[in-house]
Amino acid sequence: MRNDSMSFSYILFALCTGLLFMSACSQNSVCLEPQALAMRGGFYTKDTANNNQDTLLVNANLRFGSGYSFYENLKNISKFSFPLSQAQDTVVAIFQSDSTSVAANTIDTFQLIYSRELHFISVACGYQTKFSLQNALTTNHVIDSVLIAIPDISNDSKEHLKIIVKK
Amino acid sequence: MKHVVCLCLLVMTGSPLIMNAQDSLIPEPSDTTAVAGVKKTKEKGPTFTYVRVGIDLSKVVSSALQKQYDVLEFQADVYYKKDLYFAAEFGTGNSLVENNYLKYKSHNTFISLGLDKTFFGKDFRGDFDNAFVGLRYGLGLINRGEAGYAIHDTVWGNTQGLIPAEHFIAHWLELTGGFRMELIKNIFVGWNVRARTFINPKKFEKLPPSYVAGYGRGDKNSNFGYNFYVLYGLGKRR
Repeated sequence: MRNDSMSFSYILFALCTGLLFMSACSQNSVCLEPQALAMRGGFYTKDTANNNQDTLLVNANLRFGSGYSFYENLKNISKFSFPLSQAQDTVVAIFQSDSTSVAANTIDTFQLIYSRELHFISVACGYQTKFSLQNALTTNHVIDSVLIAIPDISNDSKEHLKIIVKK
Repeated sequence: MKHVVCLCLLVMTGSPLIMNAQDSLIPEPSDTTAVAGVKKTKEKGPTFTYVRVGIDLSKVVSSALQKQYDVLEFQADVYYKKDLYFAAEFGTGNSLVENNYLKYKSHNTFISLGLDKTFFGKDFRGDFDNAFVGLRYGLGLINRGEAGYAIHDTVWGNTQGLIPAEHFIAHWLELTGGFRMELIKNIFVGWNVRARTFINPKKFEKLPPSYVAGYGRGDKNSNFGYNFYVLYGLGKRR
């Protein structure tokens, strides 16, 4: 125990440092990670040696989502991505090779079958669903085949699906 | 040396008060021996004669200012000898997570035990003003309630679900350091900072409690914290 002036200074010191710590240690609860993970894919054709070659789609549409109400227009690009359903183990997407045509022979339907696993992200973001592709089925008007390149879909930029289209 | 440090700390706070600490010192009454011209204090008699018990005011204030947690933390220490104190913290707390993606409550109690070692010698008999460092082992018993979650998905529709309640036992180690001083007779104030790390972090990888009394954020394997204690001391000073 000290004299009065020293005690006052000590109090001041203690309060200032205490407030400093309190202000510096506030909780951070901002979510910076997406909950919905996207499946990524690319379009390919077979070359004469039967190797997969990147192919640019001129003007195609990829329809997905509930009632196929979402679509991705693929104009002079070969890559696409869309999320899988977190409530079902299968999704169906429609590939329209020419966005200006509804002719049946220009449209294919492919189905992806997968397993789901709930994954905790953080207190701020909650949960996300990780997927593992198990099978891919397709009609064959324009699409030759659908290959699973990397089955596990997590928060990365890998290409999970290869869609081989006919020349 | 202690007074130099104290003076530096006071200057940091901008206090204009300059004190002559030596004026306020109570002369050492007896029990000294002269060694090479320097008087050295010897301690004799029983140990564990002076105990302090207090509450962490910073948690009282921060609990009142927000609704994420509601925590009470207490401290007790007992002077052992020379520069050593045995210390214990204990308390209880509730935490709430409520955002767009999660909603759950948690409750925990904790105790941590360890030692504090002071830096400076005593200036007078019963002088407990000092800076210290310490080491603690902490044990927390945690109940996390059932959690509701929502996953937002604009394409396929939102998903909701429940995660069952879970009990955890948390073990952690902490390093602490700070400063404690006697304001008026037997009433002490002091702050300290703490660095803590879970010994069993794997337990908390899946939906941890957002706040663990005695530890801090439950979703961090290691974290920093602070306390601001007011303590009452009782017993015989040596």
